[in-house]
This record gives sequence, C-alpha cells and structure tokens, in this order.
Amino acid sequence: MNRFPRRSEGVTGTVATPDQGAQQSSWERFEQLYRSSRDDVFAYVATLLGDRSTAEDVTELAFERAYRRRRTFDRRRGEERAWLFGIARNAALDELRRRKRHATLVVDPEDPSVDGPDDGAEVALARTMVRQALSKLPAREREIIALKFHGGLSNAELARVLGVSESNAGTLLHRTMEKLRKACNATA
Amino acid sequence: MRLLDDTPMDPEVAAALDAIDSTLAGEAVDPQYAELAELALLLADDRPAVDPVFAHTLDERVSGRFGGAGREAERPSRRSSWSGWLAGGAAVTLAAAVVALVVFVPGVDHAGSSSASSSAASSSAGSTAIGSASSSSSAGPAQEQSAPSRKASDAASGSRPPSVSRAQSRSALIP
Repeated sequence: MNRFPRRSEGVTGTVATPDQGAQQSSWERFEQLYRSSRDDVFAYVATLLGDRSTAEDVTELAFERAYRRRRTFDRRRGEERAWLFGIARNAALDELRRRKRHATLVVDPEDPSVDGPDDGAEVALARTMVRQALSKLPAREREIIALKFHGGLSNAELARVLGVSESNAGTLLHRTMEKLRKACNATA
Repeated sequence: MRLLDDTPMDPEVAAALDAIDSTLAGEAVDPQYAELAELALLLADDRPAVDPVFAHTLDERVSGRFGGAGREAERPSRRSSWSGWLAGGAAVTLAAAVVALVVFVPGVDHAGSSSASSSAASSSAGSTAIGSASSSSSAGPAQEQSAPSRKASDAASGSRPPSVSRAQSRSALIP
C-alpha cells in the first residue's frame, strides 16, 4: 500500500516559501525536481549521446540514481538542479565509456521528430548548418551547448555541473558560441 | 599557473552572455548581438523533445518510486545481506544436524549388528541389526549396557574400522 498520497496530475511547479521547503520530505522535493527537469535532462542527455533511445535509458537511470541518493543531497554544495544534471552527466559519460565513444560523439541521424515545427526553407537550412557545425565541435564544447540550450541551465548551474567557476563557464560558453557562429558563417 | 577562475569576466563577454539569456527569455537584444541571438534561438529550437510514450513510462516509474527491477541493479541492502547470512547459517546447521543424525543414529543401532557380526555369519547380521534397531526404542538401558561389551568384542575380533561397520549396518537397514 502506498502510504504517501499522490499529487494531482499536471502539477508542474510549486511556489514554496523557505518554511514550506524545510518541511518538505525528500520525496516531495525529488518529485518537484523531476517534474521541472524531466524534459531538460532528456534533451541534454540526447544531445550528449546523439541517440534518442539510449538517451531515454540514461535519463531514466539518472532519475533513479537521483531518487536513491536524494537524502544525500547537500544544499550547501549547490542547487538541486545542478546536482541532478551532475548525476545525468555521469550516467551519460558512463554510457559513452561503455560504448568506447569518448571522442566520437555523433549527431542523431535524420530524425523527423527532432526537426521541430514546420519551418521555412531558410530556417531549415540554418538549422542544418547549426547541427553540422555543432557536430564538429569537441565533446566538451558540445556539452556546454547541450547544458545551456537543451538542458536550460543558468550559467551558475552550468559552472556547477562542469566543476568550474561561473566566470570560467561564461567564458567557455561565449567562446563556443563564437566558434559556432563563425562555422555557420563559413558554411553559408 | 594563473587560473582562469581568478579573472573577472570580460565585460564584452558578460554582455554577450546577457544577450543570450535575454534572447532565451524572449526579450529584445541590442542589434549588435542579433547574429548571436539568432544562433541561440536556433540551438534552443533544436532541443530534442521527449517522446510522450517514454514520458508516460517514466512518470509511472517515478510515481511507483522506481519499484521493481530498475535500470540500475541495486546493491543488496545490509538487511538483505544479513538475512542471507542467517539463511545460510540455518542451512549449515540443518546440514550438520542431518549428518550427525546419519552418523550417530546408525552407530547406536550398530550395537547389535556389530556383536552379531563378530559371532555370526554376515548374512544373518542384517536381520540381527534390524531386530536391534526395532527394539532400541523400547530397550534403551539394555542397549547402553551392551555397549561396553560390544567394544570389548570389537577389540577382540581385530578392531574393524567403525566407518566400515557403520556402512555395513546402513546397507543392512535398507530393505
């Protein structure tokens, strides 16, 4: 029997005061984190792995690990979202090590579900160029893009996940964006 | 070595990062960052979407608190390892009890057969053993009294190894 009441369907966020947060159980905090981060974690992992099917497995694994370790979370070492992405990152890197694909992060093959809404030919072309440019970036820089634009992390969270200072993370992000922009311009 | 972490961020870099964040937040940016903003939008739009079937499956697993067999093979808990040890200990104790029963009970039964085998033919030893076994439950003290005399007769008959005599008595008990 489940002793804990289930929350309403469709709840995507909760406005919690510090007092409420202190009273929340580790399960409630985990559930909130899951609801707010599920899609972001998947998007990040999918970009990192370049394989949607494996990304689903790794996303599930990451949340399961986070659930098992939820009581060990230490707020003094960063926010929960950065903690969760750290777990997802490790799970994705484990997968890459398992496949011995450290240096060869591949881009998804043409997948209609990833193409997004119907765009004009110009936007579609621009998107293709960006994907090609992204695929040529080193793994580290691709990961920064994945964390920022697909994981939706702030620069501070990005720094936490990568284990660098916020200043360093910002510089790395800017450098990577400049690299991408030049690559796209060169292709055009 | 000078750490990059120690250096404050370049104002131009900070401004470009602010422009990216503003773009992602749907706000207008300075025209000088238009190209960067367009790239940021393209990257954000290219975000892999979650498959609804997978989303539903994962929601269910989270609601069930990852019950059952998970992706991650859980390490056995301390409690389960203790129960495993206890179960193993119980099994060993049971096995030891069974061995003791097999070894010692026929040894007691062997009281009659041994003396019989020393004095009578081996073909008749079986029936003697069966007879002593059937009577052992009711004639315990009498059997205890016969034990010293059995030892004496064994010694006199050339001290056959006890294991052999037990094996013989066991085979004699099998109908």
